[in-house]
Amino acid sequence: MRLWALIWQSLFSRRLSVVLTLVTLALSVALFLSVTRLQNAARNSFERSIAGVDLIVSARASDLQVLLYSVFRLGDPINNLSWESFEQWSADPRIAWSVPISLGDSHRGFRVMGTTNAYFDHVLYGNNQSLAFASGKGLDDLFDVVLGAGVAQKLGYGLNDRLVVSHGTVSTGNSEHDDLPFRVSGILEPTGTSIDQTLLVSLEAIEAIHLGWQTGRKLASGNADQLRQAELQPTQITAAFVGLNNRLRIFHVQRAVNSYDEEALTAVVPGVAFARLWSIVGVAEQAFRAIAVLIVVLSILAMITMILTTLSERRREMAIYRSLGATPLVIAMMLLSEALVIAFGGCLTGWLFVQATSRIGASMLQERLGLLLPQHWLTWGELWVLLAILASAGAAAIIPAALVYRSTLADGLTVRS
Amino acid sequence: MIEPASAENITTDSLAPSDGGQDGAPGDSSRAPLLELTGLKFSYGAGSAFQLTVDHFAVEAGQTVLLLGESGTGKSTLLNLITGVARQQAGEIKIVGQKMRADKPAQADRLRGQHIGLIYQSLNLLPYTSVKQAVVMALAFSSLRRKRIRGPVDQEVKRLLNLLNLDATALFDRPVVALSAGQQQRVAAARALIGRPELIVADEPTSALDSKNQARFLDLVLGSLDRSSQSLLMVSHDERIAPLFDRVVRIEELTA
Repeated sequence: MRLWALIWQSLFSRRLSVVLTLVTLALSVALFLSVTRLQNAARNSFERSIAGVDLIVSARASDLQVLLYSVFRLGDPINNLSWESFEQWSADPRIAWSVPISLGDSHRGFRVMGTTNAYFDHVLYGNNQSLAFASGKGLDDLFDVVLGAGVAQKLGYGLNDRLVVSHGTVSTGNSEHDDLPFRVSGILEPTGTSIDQTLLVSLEAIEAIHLGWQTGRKLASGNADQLRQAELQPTQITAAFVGLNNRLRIFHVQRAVNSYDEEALTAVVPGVAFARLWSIVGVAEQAFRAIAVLIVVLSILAMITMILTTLSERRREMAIYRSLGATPLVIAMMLLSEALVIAFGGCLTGWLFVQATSRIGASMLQERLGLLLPQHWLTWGELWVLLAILASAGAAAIIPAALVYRSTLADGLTVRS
Repeated sequence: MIEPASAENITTDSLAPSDGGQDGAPGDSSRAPLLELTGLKFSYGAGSAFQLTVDHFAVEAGQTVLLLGESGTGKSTLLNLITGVARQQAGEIKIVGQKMRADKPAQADRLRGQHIGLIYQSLNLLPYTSVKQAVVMALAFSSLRRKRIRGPVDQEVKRLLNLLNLDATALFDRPVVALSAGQQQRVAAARALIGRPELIVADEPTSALDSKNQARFLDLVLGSLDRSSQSLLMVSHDERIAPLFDRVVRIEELTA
C-alpha cells in the first residue's frame, strides 16, 4: 500500500462532500472557460466580419452606429446617403472602388441588403478571404437573390427556389408581396460573419419593392414585367464600402469626406471603429471575467472549508498515521495532495463539461448569432488558467495542512475521542 | 517472574555506539539490547509534581516484557518516551542501536514506523477501511517493513490474520466496523506485526475486551510473534497475565 492509496481511501470515505466540492469547482471552471471562449469567439467573429474595406461612408452618424448597421446589420440608419453624393465620391481619383449597400427589408427575420455584384469582388472577410459561392452566381436579373449560408440552411432554400421579400424588418406574414417573387441565383459559402444571415439583392430590387409600397399599402400595379421596364435608379443608399488607391491616405480622404459641403457625411475607418467598440465592450468583458474569477475563488474557498470542517473528525486518522511512522510533514503533504486531487478533478470535469457543451452548443450559436465557436481542445491561455487554479488550490490548502501539522504534533499518537 | 530493574551494571558498557546500518539484522540485536533506556529524566514542566526517572531499562531481542503498574504511575508517559512522542529532559533511548530523539520529530517518526508496531487500548482502526486496508496501512509509511515481506502482500496479510485466528478469506474485504471488538483488536495486532518490526509495543490492548477474550488475544499475539527477532513490550495493570511473559517489570521498581 502506498500513500496515494491512503489518500484515496480517505477521500472515498467522505465521497459525498468530496463530490459536491468537486462539482462546485468543476462548474466554476466551466463557467470561466465558457466566458473566455465566448468572448474570444465574439471578438473573433466581429473582427472577421469585414476586411479589405478602407472606409465606410454614410450619412452623418457616429462611428459605432455606422459600423453596427453597415457591417453587422444591427439597428437602422437614421439618415440615408444620396445617390448623387455616392456617385460624386466614387469618381474621386483617390478612390479605387466603391460598393453601395441599402438596408431596410427583411425576409422571415433575415435582413435583406441591396448591393451590386461589386460586393462579391471587393468586400472581404476574415483573413482577407473573398466571398465564395457554394452554388450559383451573382445578381443578374432584377429579381435575383443571393443567400448567405445560414439563411439557405435555416430556411431550407436551394438554387432557383422562389421567395418573397417583405417591407420593413419585422416578419409579419400578412404584408408579403406575393406578386414579386425573387429567385435564388446563388448561395454563399459559410463565413461565420453576418453575411451568413443576409439576403443580397440588387439596389434596383430594393427600389422595386418600395415602388409598389410608397403609399403604405399594396398597389395593384406591382407586375414583375412592368417593374423590369420601370426606371429603378435608386435615389439614396444606406452606406458605401470604399477602397482607396493609396491606403496611406486613409485619414486624408476621411477628413475630406467628413467636411464635404454638399451633404453631411461620415467616413469611418473600420479598424478605428472596432477599437472604439472594444473599449466600450471591454468594460463588460472585464466585469464578466472578474465575476468568473470570483466564482472560481469562492469554490476554492468552499473546498478549503470542506477540508477544514472535517479536520477535527479526522484527528484520529492523523494519530493513527503518525503511530505508523508518518511524519507531521508527510501528513500535511497528504492533506495538500487531497486538495490538489479535488482541484485537479474539478478542473478536468469542468473542462470536459465545456468541451461537451461547446460541441453541442456550437451549431446553435452559429445559427442564432452567427458566432463561430472555436473547436479547440485547450489553448495555452486556458492551460495557464487551469494551472493557476491548481496552484491557488494548493496554496489555499496550506492553511489546513499547517493546522494538521501542528495538531498532529500536539496530539501525539493517541486521540481519546 | 518479577525482575527488579538492576540490569544497568551488566549491559551499559557492552553497547556498541554505532548508529544506523543494523536494520533488522538478528546478529546485531543479539549483541546489544533491542531497546535500551539510560539515565532518563522526564517531567511535564517546572511546576509539575510528576517526575519520571529511569536509570536503566533494556529489552533484549526476542524477549516478551510486561510492564506492570496502576494508572497514573507513568506507564503511558514511558511509552510516549519510547515511541518518541514525549521528549525527555535527560538521558537516552535507543532502539536497534539508534537514538530515539523526540526533539527531531521527523526522525523519531521514521524510526517508529520502521521498527515499532503499536497496539492501543482501543480506536486502533479507521472505521472506513476494510480489514486488509487496515493491516497494510502500516506499510504505507515504512519502506523497510514493506521490503521485509517476501511474496505477495495479500498472502502475508492472510497469514497473519490466520495466525491471529481470524478467518482471512471471509474477513479480508469486510469493513472493520463489521467486526467485534475482539476481532478488531486482532486486526490491529496484525497491523502491528506486518513487516516484522523488531519491537511490538502494546498499551493495555485488552482493557476493552472481556476476560475470556483478553486471555485469548494475548495467547494469539504472543503466538504470532517471530520469537527470533521480535520483542514485545506490553503495559498493563493486570497482574493475572504476568505468567505469560518472559519477564515482568513493575513500574515502581523501574522508576525508584
